Amino acid sequence: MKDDRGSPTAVETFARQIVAIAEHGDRAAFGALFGHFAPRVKAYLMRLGAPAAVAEELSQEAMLLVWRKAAYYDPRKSQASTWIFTIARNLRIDAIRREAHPELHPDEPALTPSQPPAVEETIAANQQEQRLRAALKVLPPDQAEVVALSFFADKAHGDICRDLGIPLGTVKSRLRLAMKRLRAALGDVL
Amino acid sequence: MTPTHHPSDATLFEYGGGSLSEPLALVVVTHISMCTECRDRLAEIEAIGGVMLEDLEPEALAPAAFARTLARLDEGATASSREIPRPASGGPFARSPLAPYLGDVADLPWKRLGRGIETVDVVRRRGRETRATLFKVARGTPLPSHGHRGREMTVVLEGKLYDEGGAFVAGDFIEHDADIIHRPSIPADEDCLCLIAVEGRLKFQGVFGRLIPLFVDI
Repeated sequence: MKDDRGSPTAVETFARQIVAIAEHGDRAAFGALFGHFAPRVKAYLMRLGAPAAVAEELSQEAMLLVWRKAAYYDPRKSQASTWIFTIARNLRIDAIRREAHPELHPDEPALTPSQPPAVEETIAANQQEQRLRAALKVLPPDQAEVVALSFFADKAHGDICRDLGIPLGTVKSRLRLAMKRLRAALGDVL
Repeated sequence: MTPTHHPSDATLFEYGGGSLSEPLALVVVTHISMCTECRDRLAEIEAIGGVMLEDLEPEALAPAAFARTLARLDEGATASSREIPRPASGGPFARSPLAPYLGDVADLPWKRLGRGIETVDVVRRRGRETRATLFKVARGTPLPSHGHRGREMTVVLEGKLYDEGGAFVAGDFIEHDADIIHRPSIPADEDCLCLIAVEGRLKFQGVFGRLIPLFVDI
């Protein structure tokens, strides 16, 4: 549901659906996730230059990975959209760029200590996406542009600055300023 | 000890957004594995990625797409999935992002690069010229002054390294743009182990330095 996008209820529902897949192979939950995320993953891949047919295949592939990796998803650590974004990102790097995206080791003991307690996290997860979305909407356009290009251009910032005709230092300082604003908006939620 | 030198926001955006080439990304994530602060910074950036994904205008899939995917749920792992294989052995890198790249850490293929310097090729991409290399440098070994054709990123794994900007210890991250000419050095009383990724071949300075590329592929 478009109106439901990012609402606390929707955010929580997606997380619960991934957990339901992990716990009892819930195909109905998978169907709901597929309906919402597969078309967005396809749009993400096309935005990064994949032809529609390739994006169609890979978005199904990404959803298969959601099914297979569901047990690794920890709703206390990330939201469903964040987790599915990383799956789509890594799959694209693998299938299109023919490289791997090096990741933290899954058994990394230090993966957990900086996380707040579970009860607070449930509340935090509900607010984080909304706060981030609101903060992204009010970013100055020049900052919003380089943030978007960081996700949708598959280009090093050295190439992005040439495309935009601005110095590399300007790209870097815009990202630094954007991050400062977004971090302030998240406040103590993260 | 907590690292005090971190990747810039721009570099974390490149890692989180997925545009950083694999060797550079490996140096960044190795730092992140040693730094709780950057783990939180990355979580923020990936959450932004999630919001960006969520807010894209959906592209409809073919009507049969879901049924086709359902039919594949019970198959084995997909062929195109470039999962990095789990390493066979433990050792100091057992839980490092480096582990899958190193194989048997007890028997790394160290190559002698010169007096006091040994290296292991970790990963090469983009026509092999962008690569990440493990460097083991003996205490007091002089390193050649050099320039770059691309960026250089370093994470110190053990010991200490002096470079532009000061002294760097285990976990610290150093990044240089293509335009820098620098001469890192190692303290007289401590060996140094670090992972360095560079884009493009180095440009060595001085008569001695200019001879190096004739002999070694760095």
